[in-house]
Formats: sequence, structure tokens, C-alpha cells
Amino acid sequence: MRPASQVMQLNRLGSFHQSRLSFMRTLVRRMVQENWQINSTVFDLDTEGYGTAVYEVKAKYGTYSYVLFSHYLDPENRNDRVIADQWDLTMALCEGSVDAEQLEFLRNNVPKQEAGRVDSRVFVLSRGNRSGRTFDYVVDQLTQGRQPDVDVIAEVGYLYRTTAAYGSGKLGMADWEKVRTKHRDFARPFAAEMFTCFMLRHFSLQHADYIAAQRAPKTAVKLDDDIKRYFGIGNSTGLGMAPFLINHPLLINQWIEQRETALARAIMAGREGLDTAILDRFASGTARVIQHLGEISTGDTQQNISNGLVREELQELEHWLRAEGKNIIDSHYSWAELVQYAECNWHIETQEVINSMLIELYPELVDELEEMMAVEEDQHLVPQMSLDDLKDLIEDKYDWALAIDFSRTESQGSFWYRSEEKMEPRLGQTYVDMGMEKQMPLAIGRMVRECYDEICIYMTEFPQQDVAHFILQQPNFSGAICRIQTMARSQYGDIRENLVHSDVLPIHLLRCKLSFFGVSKFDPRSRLWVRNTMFQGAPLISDFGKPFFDDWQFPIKPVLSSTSDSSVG
Amino acid sequence: MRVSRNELTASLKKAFEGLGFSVGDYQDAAAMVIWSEMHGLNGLQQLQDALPSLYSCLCLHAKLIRNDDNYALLNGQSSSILLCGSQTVRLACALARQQGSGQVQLDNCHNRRFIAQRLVSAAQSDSALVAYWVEGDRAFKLSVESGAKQPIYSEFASTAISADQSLMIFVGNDLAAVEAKFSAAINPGPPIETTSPDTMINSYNDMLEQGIEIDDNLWHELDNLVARVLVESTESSRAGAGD
Repeated sequence: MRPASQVMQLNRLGSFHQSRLSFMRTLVRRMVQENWQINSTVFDLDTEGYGTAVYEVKAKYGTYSYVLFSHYLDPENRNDRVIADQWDLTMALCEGSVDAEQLEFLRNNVPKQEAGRVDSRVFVLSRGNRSGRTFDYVVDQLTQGRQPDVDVIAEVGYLYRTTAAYGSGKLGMADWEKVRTKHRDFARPFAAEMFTCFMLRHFSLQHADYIAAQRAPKTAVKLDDDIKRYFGIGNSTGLGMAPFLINHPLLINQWIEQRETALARAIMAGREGLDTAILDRFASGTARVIQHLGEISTGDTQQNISNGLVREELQELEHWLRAEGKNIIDSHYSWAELVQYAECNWHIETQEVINSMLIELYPELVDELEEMMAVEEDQHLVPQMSLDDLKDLIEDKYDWALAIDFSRTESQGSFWYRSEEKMEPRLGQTYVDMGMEKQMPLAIGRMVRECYDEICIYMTEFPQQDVAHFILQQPNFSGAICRIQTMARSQYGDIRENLVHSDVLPIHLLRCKLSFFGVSKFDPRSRLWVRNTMFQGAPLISDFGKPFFDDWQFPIKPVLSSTSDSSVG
Repeated sequence: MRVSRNELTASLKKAFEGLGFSVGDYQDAAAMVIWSEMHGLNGLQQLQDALPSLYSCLCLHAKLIRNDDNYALLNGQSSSILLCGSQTVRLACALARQQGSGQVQLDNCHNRRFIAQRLVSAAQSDSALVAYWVEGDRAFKLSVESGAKQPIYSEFASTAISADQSLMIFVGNDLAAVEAKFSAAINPGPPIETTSPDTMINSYNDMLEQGIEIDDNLWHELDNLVARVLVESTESSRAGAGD
């Protein structure tokens, strides 16, 4: 497996793309293969599409309810930020069936989101806002008996976007431990949150059809299934996600270790050469990513440049695969050689796209790892460890932290804090913004440096002493030592970057986590938040239980079948 | 009102941070309170009782007074076990690793019932632990076998005079060995009340399923403490969130 010194660089983590192990992919595989039955038991909307919908979800191990409220929202008040307090749609995923009393309780609380309270029967609370660019357009087209133009859809990719999906016990909801131990259908990290977004996508498509039918019962058509599959759910992710990666190092270690294991298995599978079938699949996959990247619409200059560079390099790869296919096979060329070539010649983002594509080729070697994405997150301090050993351990595992010169102004040019507005994490500028004294402890590199320096000083007087005695003298370092000793036992986990540098790019943190969720089409809006698309290209609920080849990654524009035309008019 | 464990953990961590606890301390303190509550040992009531003194505490930790072979004496400086508990248990475990068994006496420390979670946590690293202390006419004993997730919690009638808010921690490789080695110090006779591991597990599972009941006033008080670590929002600070 690749070393942490390579994998855990922030810019590489920020270049990760979704893979077969991403949570949306694994959820979809499970739903389709297990043929989950999802039906609306309440669809009580007025002619404008406002009202209540309840879906009963019969999964393999249990029954759940997805409850959604659709509200009128003045476009002036439509805001994707965490601090918003009104949304077009609000929703909850609940255990079991929902009776009238519970529905009323949810109606009184779910639309308030953070300002409401729910209970331990609820797993996830979420909300969504309409896309100003597509929703009205799509409904208008359907109303007029026409399918929407795929090129217009490609510009956005969704009808609604979610701005938050809360789980893990927030606002009175069920604890993750309850979900994990009691509800096997959602016993993987973020499975319930991803399902909530998947259901939002389902509702959004049904919603557009419904409103069009209400407006023009005689002329309206329903969205073509191929177009439906091309719709995802939009997502806006800001800094709220960033501290998660720092505060859950064992979980991040687990995710990355599984991804690296998958990559290592794929590379090993091709160690003695490749055959025509696998090379063809790889070449087709490459062509698809090239098209996918070419269809991304973003106003972010840097992302556009990056997408362009990756496309060029992948075109070079595809050309080589097509032109040299026979020689590649005859010469027993291996994936390891390709990976090495990419690392020496192509950009990091291209390298990571290739890695995702390689993982894609070997489901039989990779998919079982999806069961390994959860982990106990207890950190343990080893009090009997000698300080000599601890010092060696820091020098060995945290050499990257000791290499940072924190005496430089820019090395401590930023700080992270929680705003009084919904406790939103924010990034401040040192000595410019208020709140430095309340900063969050996310500067792991600096914490390690300070701890190391204190150990060195203490050891001049007590060279033979152990950790237990050191923390009696310096109790404020117990948290740092606990983390250092815990993480030293794992390969990945700590991000090797100074997260308080004045030029830190938090968007890399967001992208890393989002890649494990399985999103696509990154559209950075600043260095602090990013829009993206979830479930674009994924099967529809009507596809569940049918033969399924799990290849909806890197979605591309659909080529509409002739039956789509017949649905027009 | 009912809250989830994760929600209470997040609130307690920030509340303890608001009280001045440092990184490491506030995680440990939150874990101690929640463990006690969820396992039926009234952690939230204990916290409510402890809060007045925590408001005025200087976040002092235990000081090492003496250390001879496998024995150490600490002075808790009138602080809370929420601040001194981790140090004490860790020192006892380190002594046990080096000497075969460890005994640490922590004097002058309050809120000693919270120590249970620290013992259970330490027991996950191949140590068996016993904690013993006297409050008024009662003595209390918590015993955890190596690797066990729950302790046995017993109360005894005590005629012994409490020595300065003391807590004794004994550590060894297994519980039988610890009980045998330190029997003179931790054998106060038949218990008058015992909370079994099964009772604790049932309490934990109930709260995981239903949520944790918390007094509205305490929740509000925690919110006020949490507010201490939040930063005022301004137009400028909104720029730091992406606006």
C-alpha cells in the first residue's frame, strides 16, 4: 500500500474521486440487489406541489419511513448556508412506520431543522432547496409535453440540492451506535444520510412530474427514465465538514486504508500482465471520464484548468491504450507501471482518477471491503511508555509536523473557530479576526510540535521518566499524547498539512470527505465551500431488483432512446 | 427533555472547554459524566451538584507528592476527579506495568464517583483495577476485570474516617490478584448494595434506545457554558465561512 507520506498530503486528499467503496455506491448496490420496496403512503400535495409526502421503505432487515414536507419559499429567502432558517423541502428518515401522531410531531419540528427537536426514532434530518436554473425549466418543458434538453440539465445536474443532512444523534435523533447495532440496513457510515439524499432525488423527480401534471393534465408528459437517471441531487458543502476529518482520525484512517487496500489489490491483480477484456474496459472507462470532465460546468477558474489538464492527460492515456493495446498485453505491462508513470508524469488529480478507475475494474476483489468502513474510535493513552520511546515515535510518525516552522508568521496565519451562529465552523485570520482565544484545536501539527518541545525540556531533567509522570507535570498535553500514541498504531489518519497556515485550502478537506460519500462534479464556490452532485447517473427506484451492472460512476449525458420521443406530446 | 449520547457528548465537551478544561481533559470529563449517567450511576445529577465548584475551579490537576516503587501519593488540590481522574488512573497503570502492581492514593479530590469510566477505559488495556473511597458513613468500591466493559459497583457501611477526600486506585494483571494483594485496604466487609454489570448494561441500552433524560435547567446551563467557546458573528466573520 502507498505510504502515508504520499497519501495523506492535503492536496492529494483533495484530488480523490469517488470509488466503488464510496458510500453512495455501496448503498445503491445494497438497495438494488436486495430489491428494497419503496412506496409513497402519503402524497398529499396541493396543485403547486406544497404539502406532505411519506414513503414506506421495506429494506432487507427492517421497515423505515421517509417523511418530507414541501413548503413555499420566497426565492429571496433561498440560502444554502448553514445559517439559513427556511427551505423548500425538509425531511426526516425514521425507524418503523409513522402514525398520525408522530407525523404531526414531525410536522411541527422537521421544518424548523436546527431550531426544532426530534427523538430517537429519527435517524436523519435534512433539507433541500430548488435549483433556480433547472426546476422551473424542467416543469415548464414537461407541462408543454416536451422532455427537457439534456444539455440544459448537464449545466446543473439536479432539481434540488441539499444543504445539510444531520444524523448521529444531533437534535435528539438516534445515536449512531443505535443505528449501527439495531438497524443493519444502515449499519455503515453515513448510509442513512446518503439514503435520505437518494430519497430527495426520488422525490424531486416525482415532484416535477406531479406539478407538470397538475398544471396541464392533458398535455403534460413524465420525465423520460434515462433523463431521470441523469438527474442527481445537488449538494453544498462548507466548512462544517472540515473539522470532522481532524476530529475522527481513526475513522478517516479506516476509510483511506480500505481505499488503499482496494487500490493495492487492483494493482496486484494486474501484476503479471493484462488481458484484452480488462484493457478494453479500462479504455472505455477512460473515455467516459474524459467526457464526464468535459461536461462539468463550473465558474471556478482553477477547477476548470484542473479538469482541462486531467482531460488532456487522460486523452493521452486513452490514445496510448487504443494504439498500443496489443503491445501492452504482449509486453506483460502491469498496472503498477501505469501508476508509476502517472506519478512521474501527470498531475495528482489525474493520478487519483486513474486509481479510482483501477479499483472499478475488480469488484470481486474490492467490494467486500465496504463492510470494513466502520471502526471503534476510542483513543488510548499508553502511560507506561518511556518518554524516550514517545520522542522517537514523534520523530518517526510526525516528522512532517516537526518540519513545519511555526515561528513564521504565515505558519499560524489562520485559526478555526465556532461561530455563535449555529456553531458554524469558520476560518479566521490571525490578529485580524476576533476569536483567536477560542480557536478549535485543529492544528495537529502545531500541537505535536509543542508537545515534542515540552518533552525535550522535561527530559533534560528526567531522562528516564515515562508518559504518566510527564502528564502529571504537564497535564495539558494528555490529549496530544493520547492522539499521537493512538494514531501511531495506524497507517493513515492524520492529515499531513499545517491547517492553520495562512494559505490553507480547506476545500481539499471537503473534497476528501465528499469523495468517500461518492459525489461528482465538484464546483468550488470559494476556497471554503463547494457545490457538487450526488447520485447523478444512479439507478432509479424502479430499477431495483432488475439486473444491475454497477457502473454509474462518472456520469455522462444520456443518449436518449427512441422511446423517449414517443413520450413527447 | 431527552437528548442523544452524541449530542450530550458534544455539549459536555464544549461546556467543559467553556469552564477552562484543556484538550484531553474535556473529552475525558465528558466521557466520565456520560458513562455514569448511561450506566445508571446518576452522572447528570452528580454533574449538577458539581457545577457550582467547577465554575470557580482553577482547573488544577493532581500533584505528585511521593512515589516509592509501586505506590504513589497525589494531592488533588481540592479539584474535581473530572480533572484529576485520568492522571491518577494512568499513573497507577504505569506503576503496575513497571512493578507488577500499582497503588495510587489521591487525596483532596471531589466528585469521586465519576472515576468509573476511567477504570473501564484502562481495563481495555489488559489491566484489572479497583477504586475505593469513603464518603461519610459509606465506603464505595468499583472493581473492573481486565478487558471488562462494566465494573461491579458496591456500597458498604463504613466506620472508617475519610482521609481528606481520598481515592485509592489499585491495579494489577487480574482482579483476583489485585483483590488479594490489596485485601487489607479494600475489603470492607459485605456490601449493603451492589450494582451489577447487567443492571448497568440494561440502563445503557435503554438510554441508547430512548435517549437520555436531562433536566431542562441543566441543559440550559450547559448551553450557557457552550456559549463561552463560541465567537460572536459579524459580517467579517461570515466571510470566514465562505460568504
